[in-house]
Amino acid sequence: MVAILNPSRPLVSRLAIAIPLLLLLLAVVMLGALTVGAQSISLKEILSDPTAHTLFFRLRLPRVLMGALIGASLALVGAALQALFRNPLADPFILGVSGGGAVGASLAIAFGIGAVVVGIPFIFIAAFVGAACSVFLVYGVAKTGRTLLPGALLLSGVAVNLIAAAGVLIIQFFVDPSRAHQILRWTTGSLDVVGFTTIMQMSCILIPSWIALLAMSHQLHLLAIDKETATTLGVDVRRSEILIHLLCSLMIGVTVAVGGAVGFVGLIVPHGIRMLFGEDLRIVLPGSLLLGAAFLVGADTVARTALSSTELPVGAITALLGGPAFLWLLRRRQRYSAL
Amino acid sequence: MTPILEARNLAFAYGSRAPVIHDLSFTVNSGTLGAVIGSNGCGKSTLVKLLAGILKPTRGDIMLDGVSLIHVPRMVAARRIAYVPQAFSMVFPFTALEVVITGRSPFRKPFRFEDEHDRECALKALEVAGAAHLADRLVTTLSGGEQQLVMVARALAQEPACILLDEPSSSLDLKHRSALMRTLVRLRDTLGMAVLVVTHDLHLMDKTFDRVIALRHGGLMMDAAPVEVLTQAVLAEVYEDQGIRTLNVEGRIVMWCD
Repeated sequence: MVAILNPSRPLVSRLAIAIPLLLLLLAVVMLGALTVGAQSISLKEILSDPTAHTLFFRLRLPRVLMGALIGASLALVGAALQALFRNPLADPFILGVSGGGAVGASLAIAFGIGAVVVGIPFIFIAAFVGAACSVFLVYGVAKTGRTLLPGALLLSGVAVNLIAAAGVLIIQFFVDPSRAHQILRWTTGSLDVVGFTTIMQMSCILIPSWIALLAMSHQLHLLAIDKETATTLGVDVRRSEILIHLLCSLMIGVTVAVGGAVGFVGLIVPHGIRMLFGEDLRIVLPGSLLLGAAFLVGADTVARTALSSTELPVGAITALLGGPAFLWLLRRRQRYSAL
Repeated sequence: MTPILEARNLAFAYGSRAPVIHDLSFTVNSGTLGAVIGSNGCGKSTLVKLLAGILKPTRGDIMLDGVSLIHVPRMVAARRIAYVPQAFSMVFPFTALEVVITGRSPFRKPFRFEDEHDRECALKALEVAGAAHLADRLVTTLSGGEQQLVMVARALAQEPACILLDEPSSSLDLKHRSALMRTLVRLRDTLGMAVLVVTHDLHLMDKTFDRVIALRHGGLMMDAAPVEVLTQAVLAEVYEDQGIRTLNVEGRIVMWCD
């Protein structure tokens, strides 16, 4: 299947259509998410009613921003990992990167390390270390000589996920009940946040990481086509790989440390962008960033409004959409020769 | 004929294994069409990967325009040397034009997209490689031979001074194989390009090639004109098979194995 927007059109003209369109979509979804909920809030009420003002600025706006930050990061990392590993089924959740982050964050909670290091909560750092260990482990296992085996990559991701899940369970078993409960609450994942402190802390890491990864989109584009010949087109493959690994681990570490392991966003969103605008990573990466933000904000809005009595976990919504999408991609494997 | 690439006492080993290449010295000159021959596993592909800068020599040096390749900025090297790999797998369904236009990336400034000139160069390269009809096709739907032509076109889009091809004709039919050879000869004759081809296709080279580099166990066995290398005695030693026979038929050397 060829993308809806003809990939033979110059990239600049495709970007000129894609980016404004996706920005518009994000704006509409965010506005919708800000106004709907257990209690609808209008602009007039925000200005005149102190309760509505508090509800909007302390709960709803932070939650929508949190969804946008996490969704954008997960989708961006998914698109980058797919290109880096040259595997269209790569996703931070499937590859065990989120699992590794979960172990790191659980350890931080278990040892009660709540310190803030230069404005960054220690749990972010622990989750980053866990995610980075996972990504290097999965990559190391799946790489034979200079070849990265696509099947081995996914299987090692599954194994790392299982080990990570067991690790989190064991940590929960040994810590006192209050901390175990804290880990459980956190691993379930939620975008529930009060105020802007956490968002500011996350933004300090995520936004520079977005910029750094987007700046590498040309290298990723060449790597996605053919890793070996990327060297002969001027790419420092080893340096690029390490940098991309670290940036992805950092973003996953931070998003997992706050929102828990939200699955499949990094899988569905980049494929959606590819189907709409083509395979060029210089459009897939920024497109995934914007669509990922809109997607998770939309999924979270559904999660908190679908049932009147209670909220659904947002991870359940993304998994319900992402699981079938994964199977569909596997079924359509003739489109991708690496599957 | 000025030397573009020069291998000086080159040696290479994968990890702690025995050296694949040892003490190899030769030059690749502009305006020449050369072939690298040798039995399977003798280090031919490793040699072109070393020359292309994909692998780093464990000993010795590669000089590009008289400067050690390790001191040449990657982008500068990418504007001088192009490489067509022996095997590659296209995972994502890019169009052939999207792949070929990446050959222009060494000429672009950081954070700039390709312009109309790059697009024209890519289309021209596709035409020269005989793959203009594939421009809008998805590379994942192409045959091995068609993919090979696309990669040749990408190398041409780099407008290099030296092009290194690792068994470029291995998946091509007779027609495309001959067309590719004509293209390589044209690049040498009209643009003065240095062309080095790793090949097992000995029949192609007797009239068109200027020189043949014969490797044996990772070392240089012979570097001479085709007429000197393509003899029964030399080939028997290169391929370690006494059953190799050669015959001159109307000025062409025909080879077979008993």
